[in-house]
Amino acid sequence: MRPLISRWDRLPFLARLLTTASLALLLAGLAMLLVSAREDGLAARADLETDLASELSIMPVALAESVVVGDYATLHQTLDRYVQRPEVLEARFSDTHGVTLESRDEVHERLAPPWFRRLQGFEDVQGATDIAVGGRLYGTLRLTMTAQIAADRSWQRLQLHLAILALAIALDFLGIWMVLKRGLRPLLSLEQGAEALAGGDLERRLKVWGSPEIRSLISAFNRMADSLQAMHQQLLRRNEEMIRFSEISAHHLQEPTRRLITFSQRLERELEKCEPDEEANISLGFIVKEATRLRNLVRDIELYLAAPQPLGRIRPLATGAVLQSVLAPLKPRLEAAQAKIDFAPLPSVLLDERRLSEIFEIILDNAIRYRHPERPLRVTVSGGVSDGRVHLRFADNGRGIAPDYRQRVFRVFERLSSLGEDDLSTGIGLSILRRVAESAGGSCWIEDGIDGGAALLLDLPHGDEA
Amino acid sequence: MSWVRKLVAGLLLCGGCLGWSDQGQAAEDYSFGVLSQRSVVLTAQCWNPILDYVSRRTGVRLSLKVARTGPESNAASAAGEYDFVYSNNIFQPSMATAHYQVILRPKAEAITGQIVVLADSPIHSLRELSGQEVGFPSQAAFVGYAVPMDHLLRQEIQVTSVFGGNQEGIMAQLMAGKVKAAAVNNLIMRAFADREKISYRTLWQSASYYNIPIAAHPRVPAAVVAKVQDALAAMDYDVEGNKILTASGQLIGQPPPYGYLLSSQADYANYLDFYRTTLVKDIK
Repeated sequence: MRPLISRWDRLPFLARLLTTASLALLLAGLAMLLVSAREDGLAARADLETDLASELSIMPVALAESVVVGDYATLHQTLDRYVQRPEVLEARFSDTHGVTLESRDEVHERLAPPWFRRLQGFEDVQGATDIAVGGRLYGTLRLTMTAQIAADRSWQRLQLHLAILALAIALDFLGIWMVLKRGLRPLLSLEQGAEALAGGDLERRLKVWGSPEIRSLISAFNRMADSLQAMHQQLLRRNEEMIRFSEISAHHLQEPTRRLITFSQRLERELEKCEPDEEANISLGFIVKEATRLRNLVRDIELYLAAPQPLGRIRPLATGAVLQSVLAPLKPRLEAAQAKIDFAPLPSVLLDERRLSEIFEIILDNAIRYRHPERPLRVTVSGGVSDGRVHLRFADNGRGIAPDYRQRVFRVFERLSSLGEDDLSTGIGLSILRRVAESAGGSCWIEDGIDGGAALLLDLPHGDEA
Repeated sequence: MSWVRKLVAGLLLCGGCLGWSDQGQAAEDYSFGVLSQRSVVLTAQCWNPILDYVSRRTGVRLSLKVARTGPESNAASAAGEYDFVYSNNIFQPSMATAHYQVILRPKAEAITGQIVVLADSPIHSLRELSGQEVGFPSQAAFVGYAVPMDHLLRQEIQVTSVFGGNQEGIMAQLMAGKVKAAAVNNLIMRAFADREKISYRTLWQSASYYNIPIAAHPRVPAAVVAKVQDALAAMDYDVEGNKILTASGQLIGQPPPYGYLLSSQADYANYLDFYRTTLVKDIK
């Protein structure tokens, strides 16, 4: 039962309403027709019994003369004519000496089937009466009245009513379908409006039309869109303010950091002119290193904050060419790592060039930074398109990332190595990468790479979509 | 003593045979034909109770026989088909061969033939009927046809005869205006007029004749005839019989007295005289 209800609940509203209304009308109509036919049957039987009683009172008078005279030929002719009456099936006269005259109507074609006659109570009735004149019994007259005519009439009426019922159901079906189809049309625009809203089109408002209920619903939708748009604009403003503040903060932090490095370097050069002082050299080295790290950190924070913003025109990009342009400046580091970068023709990506370059830089930087110390670095880049999305795969043979950490590395300031091992890493690179990918409606994740290495996968919009 | 014993045995045997024979006759059906004057059903309603009474009283089973029309009734009478007959046509010469013998006559007054018109008819004399349509019950009706037609012929009044089948039939035609005048049995006409609430005028009336007698065919055993004769003659003296006679009489509109008197052929000699001298040749 539950699966049926569940399946029923999944049917379209219009289908459920039409089915319910049609079934209700059909059942009610059938019940009404059958009850009506049954009443016809009972009424027909009552009428037949009344007619039979009447005939049994009239017929002896009509037959009396022939019976008294003993003119059985005329009597038989009279009975033959009598049974030609529509509702008389059989007439039989038996006199006191055992002579019997019998007349039976020929069987006509029957319209009502036997089951209908039985079900609705259309049964023949029989009766008998004595024919006595002046106190003398001349014989007995037996009559059989048939309900066939009434049954046929009721059967024909039932068929007609069934046709009318079918027409009523069809009209009911058509009427409901038309009313709902037209009545629910505004819901279609409501659905489209909701989808537009979900797609970010907060400007979309709907024309208020249709039935009062639908108009009220559309008005509520428009009010909701107003509120959403207002909140969205407020959020945008606050976000812009936050980004602006962050950018200004990062920008202002850049200058002291640069000066710190500059003056540290000047101090280092001055110390070279003085007596060697081991303690001072070590301290100065720390200052330079931390200042450099601070500069990288501020730079990455700036990149992180700017990651969702296009840094140029978004257009279909030749992914392979962008990758080549990124590889060029990295050549010294790649050679140092004895790296071999393989890539087949890659599908076009819809993005601005600067951010795509940054993504590739981060991926290759990580591959170099976390390469395996005992073997040359190898990176294989491959790509494909499915469902309008580009999937790029950067697989290396580096140290790899344990499955438990494959999500964590995308968080800000999450690093798998200690500062001692990788003192120039800021722990923001993969966060920037994810932010860029998500701002373009894509995603990124990590899988197993080559020989225990890691593979970074990117899901980005396809360039042909433009 | 042997001859005495033989005589006693012989007497007992004869007696036994007679007794058995009588019982056999009692168990036999006898037909009782009634002259067709009224409708068959009315005739049966009138006569069946009387015959049932007689059958119960005498042990002689009488079965009513009625023909639809007078001629059919007369034909059956002429052929001697009925054991008993209620008819005054048995006096016709053509029926003499049946040899019916009168055994009873009704207590009611004698009947006459009449020629009548409706009370508002413009006809006031027989002469005015000349060339007109005059209704008669049938050619078998004695006072309804033979007697009045004989008078018209003797008066040299030529009329066009219209037959209604029986007395009631022609009276109904008179009432409906289909015939100008009708020849009728005076008693039946009176009863009809009372029942139908109509008024009529009598243009002519014949001499009286005893009303229709009951006669027996010679083949009917005398004992049976006697039983039937006695039962009918005594019927109006019996409470039940009187009641039946009264009901039957009232049914056909016949006034009292009811019942029958013993009678013979002599009482109906005027019928025989009429038939011997009549000018009407098509009496049936």
